Amino acid sequence: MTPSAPARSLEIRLLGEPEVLLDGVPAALPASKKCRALLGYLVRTGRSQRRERLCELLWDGPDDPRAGLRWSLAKLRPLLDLGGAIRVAADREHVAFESHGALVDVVAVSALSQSGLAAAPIAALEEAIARFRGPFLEGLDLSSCPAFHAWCVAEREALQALHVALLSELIERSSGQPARALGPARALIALDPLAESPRLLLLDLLTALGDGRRALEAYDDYARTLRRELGVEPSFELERRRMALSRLPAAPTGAAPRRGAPELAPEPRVAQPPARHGAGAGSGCGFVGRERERELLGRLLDVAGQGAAVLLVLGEPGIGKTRLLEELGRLAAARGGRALSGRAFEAELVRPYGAFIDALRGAFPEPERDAAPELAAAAARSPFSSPASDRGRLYDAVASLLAGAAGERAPLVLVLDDLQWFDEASAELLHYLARALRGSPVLFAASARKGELVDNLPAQRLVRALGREGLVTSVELGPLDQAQLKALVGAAHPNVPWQRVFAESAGNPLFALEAARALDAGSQDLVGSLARLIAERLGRLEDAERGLLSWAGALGRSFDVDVLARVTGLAVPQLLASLERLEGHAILRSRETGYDFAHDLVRQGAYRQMSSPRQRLVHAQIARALSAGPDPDGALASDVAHHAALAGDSALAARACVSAGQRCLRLFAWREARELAQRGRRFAESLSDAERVPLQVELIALHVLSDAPAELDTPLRELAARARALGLAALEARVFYLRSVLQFRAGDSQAAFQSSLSRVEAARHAGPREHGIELAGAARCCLLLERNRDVGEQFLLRAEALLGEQSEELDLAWAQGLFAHIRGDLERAADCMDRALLLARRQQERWEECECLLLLAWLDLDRGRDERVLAHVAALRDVADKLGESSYGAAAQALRALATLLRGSQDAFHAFDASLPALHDAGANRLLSIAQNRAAEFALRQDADERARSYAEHALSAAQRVDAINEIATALATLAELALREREPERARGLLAKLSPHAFSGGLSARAARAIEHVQNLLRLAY
Amino acid sequence: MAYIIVEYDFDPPVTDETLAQWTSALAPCTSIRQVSRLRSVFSLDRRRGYCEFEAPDAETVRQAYRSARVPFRSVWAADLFDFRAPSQG
Repeated sequence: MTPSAPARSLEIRLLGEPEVLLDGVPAALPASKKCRALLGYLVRTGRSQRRERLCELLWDGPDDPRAGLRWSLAKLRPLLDLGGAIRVAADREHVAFESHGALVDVVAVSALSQSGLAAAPIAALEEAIARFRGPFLEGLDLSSCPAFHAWCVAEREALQALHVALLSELIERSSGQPARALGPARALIALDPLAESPRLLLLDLLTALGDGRRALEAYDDYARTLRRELGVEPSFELERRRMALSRLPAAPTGAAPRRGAPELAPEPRVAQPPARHGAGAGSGCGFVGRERERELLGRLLDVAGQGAAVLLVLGEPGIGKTRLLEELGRLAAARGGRALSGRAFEAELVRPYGAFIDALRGAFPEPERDAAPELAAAAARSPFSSPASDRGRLYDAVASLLAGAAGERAPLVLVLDDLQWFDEASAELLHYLARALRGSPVLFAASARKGELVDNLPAQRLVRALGREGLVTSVELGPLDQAQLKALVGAAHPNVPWQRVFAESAGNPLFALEAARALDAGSQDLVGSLARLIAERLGRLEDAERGLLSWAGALGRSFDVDVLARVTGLAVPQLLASLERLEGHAILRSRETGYDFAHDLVRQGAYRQMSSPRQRLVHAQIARALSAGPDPDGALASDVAHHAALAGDSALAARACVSAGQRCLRLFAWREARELAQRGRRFAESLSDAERVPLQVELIALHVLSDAPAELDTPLRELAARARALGLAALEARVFYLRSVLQFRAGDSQAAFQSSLSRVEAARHAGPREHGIELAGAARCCLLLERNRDVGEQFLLRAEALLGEQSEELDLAWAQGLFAHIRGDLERAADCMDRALLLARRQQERWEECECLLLLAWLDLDRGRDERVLAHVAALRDVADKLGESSYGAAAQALRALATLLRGSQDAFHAFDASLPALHDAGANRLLSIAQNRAAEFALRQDADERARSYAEHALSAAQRVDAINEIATALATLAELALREREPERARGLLAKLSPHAFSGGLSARAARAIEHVQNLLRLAY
Repeated sequence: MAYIIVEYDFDPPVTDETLAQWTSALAPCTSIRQVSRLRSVFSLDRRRGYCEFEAPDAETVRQAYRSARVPFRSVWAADLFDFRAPSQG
């Protein structure tokens, strides 16, 4: 018996680089990564594993995996099987790690977690935290073993989460001891350098310790990291902390506030909301200054309709452009007139005619939901709600509306803010209205940021065109002077030092008011931008209102209460109360149709309160809420595309671009449609084939249907191939439709025909009935024209197989009749054509009815049934009268004469001759050739050779014009027979030789073939 | 081949999208009849217009239009007189 070896302590560390310690001394691990990975896997899972499983995990390849496993186990045993303990337990099928008292770090921390961190002593927490030397199995990234790698990554994430939980618990327990919490806070930052909450915590702790210098360093470090790694600025919360830091001493004071409520500098006194005078960043205080501009406004209103139609107000942001336009509205109202206001939207939103729709919406409120139908129908509708059939009518409708409104209350002012964001459709409409409404008491007033106009080509073109035509008066607003600024600021903030405000703001009214508010609220630091002042002001709001403003800021400069309620999930009454308070703070302004931010800079400030990840989530929520809600006009689709793009939801953004683009087409906003198509295609690029291909087809359709000259056939061909590969037959057919539109526009009829044949083939998977109908139509077309007869025959056979021979499809019956006629089966042809005639009459298809009657008449003529011919002819004349311009009346006349010929009447030739000019004038060469060939046959039978020759020659000439091969053959046969009668066999052979084989595709009709055979027999017999 | 004119009257005025749809519907019917579109002209108010084709004859174009269910007012063959100088053609 072997004496037992002394027990030795074994410790296995997997948190960080794998280590095995024997009696506290690190042992040399096998160099093989797979061997170390096997150790980590067996120890971490702690249960028996099948050898096959281990082989799949780490040795899945051409080499002998079992040998690899055996080798690794051989290397691990000496390391782990110590002191008589068998820790690597293996048999033929299974392998397991048995701890036998070995200390394993992951097991220890997991056990602590399972027993509950809240109950664990602080020492145990600290000990557990200390075990985390690094990520689980650090350095063992076996990318060649995907299954192991996936497992390892999952374990790392779970253990990191545990590490975070331990640190957070320790920090919580260290409440009141900021120094103790510093280490864990820094450890949290090390785990996720980009996460914001640990950084805020660190700032709070350092602030609590009074160590302003290190706090500022921590802030700077994080701000640099954000800019470098994500390209974003620090969030509002971080900025707030930083501002509070500026009031701290540089050295720590040892103060120890409670965790979770770090004591910042006392909150500044919140300023009372200014008195409401219609609110607004620049308004609400009465109109100040701008005497020269106000005089101009008055003059323009007095001569509205006689002078320039457009007032353009230019200036930098915050200079008072919108306020001046509001004053214009007030002056118009004072003169008994009216003002309508609208605003253009940021370029990303692509809302064609957005400013006009905005302005007119206020004038045309939607009827109440429960309104009686007749009231709803009678309620005035904006022209953009029920668009016209073309752009001209739309423009006319808007002009009439405005002229009418001006007629009721003059002058009418249409205010259009932010011209630098005008879309092309709006620019063209404004140009049209400025010209069309000259003479009406209407004044258009637009504002624009001069520097940003250069980025908008349509707006630039508009301004230049208006200038050339003498339709615009421009005014550029400069800064207020000291006296004016004193009056502006003093009205709402009488106690602030207005000289300081003037110095800081340089006369910019918005800046001045924000600075005054800040000073009034106790802030001393006015250094920095207007944006910073606004951010500070927003920081003084209650949390709930600040949060609400973030949502509103994401929605845009203007928003509807309903939409805001939908995206936030807040109840409308609660929402309205908050919005009213925000209005009292001059952050929002109410309008007839919703709310506006007092200024776009205020909106931007509200938006930037959120960190980037939060912004993405908010946009995602908005996109989902808008796309799920009602949108009868499709006006929200562009907004959905915008928010989905910002949320990173490419699929939703691409789909919304399709809807928004289709709306632009309906409103004749071609450029906007194409812009959305381009955007949508970029979003669609990242999607899977199954999602991307259908979207790309619809996005290209926006280009095709907006008549863009771009080369689109190549991408369409590629899409057809993709659609076919995906088995999307209906989509493939749609692509061929778009291609045939392009090809036909380009005059390429052959390509268009190929595309349409491809469309028939593409319908093969659309469903048997649909495919059969396509095939029957194509068959009818080919057989009617005697061209591509073999193709027509194939299509017919396939159509019959799919639809059934007796199907009640008109095209099928017609194609069957044509085919039977070509084959010479007159009885069957007549049966089929009777069926087709019945279907045509039932479906009230007049052209089809005419064609059926015509063919039935020819059939009955060939069968010698003159009475039936006359009956068909009479019916044909009746229907032809209702058809409009056609050759059927002339054809009916010719047939009537031919029917009379059947009876042997010589006079009928005169009647027949009299019918020919009408056929000739109608340019109906095929009918001419058919009719004259029949007449030639009759004449031949009656030995009226000269008459027969004349008819045959004219028939040949007419048939050659339209390449009617059967009539060519018939005419040649007649002329050859006449040649034989004149004992000129060579001439006869020469005529027959003109029937060269390559001239015929699919053979002659039975009738024509019989005519040729007859004269060939004559030739053979006689010569 | 003949030079053929197709004339239209539209009341109410036709939309550009409808024109595009008719173009597509006509494509197979004209191409199989060896009818080539040369040019189309529509009034700004979209109430009238005409198309110019090269085709075997007027009836062929009429049949193509009827087959495609595209409305027209009249179809007629024409002689073209082009007064542009050769270098401008």
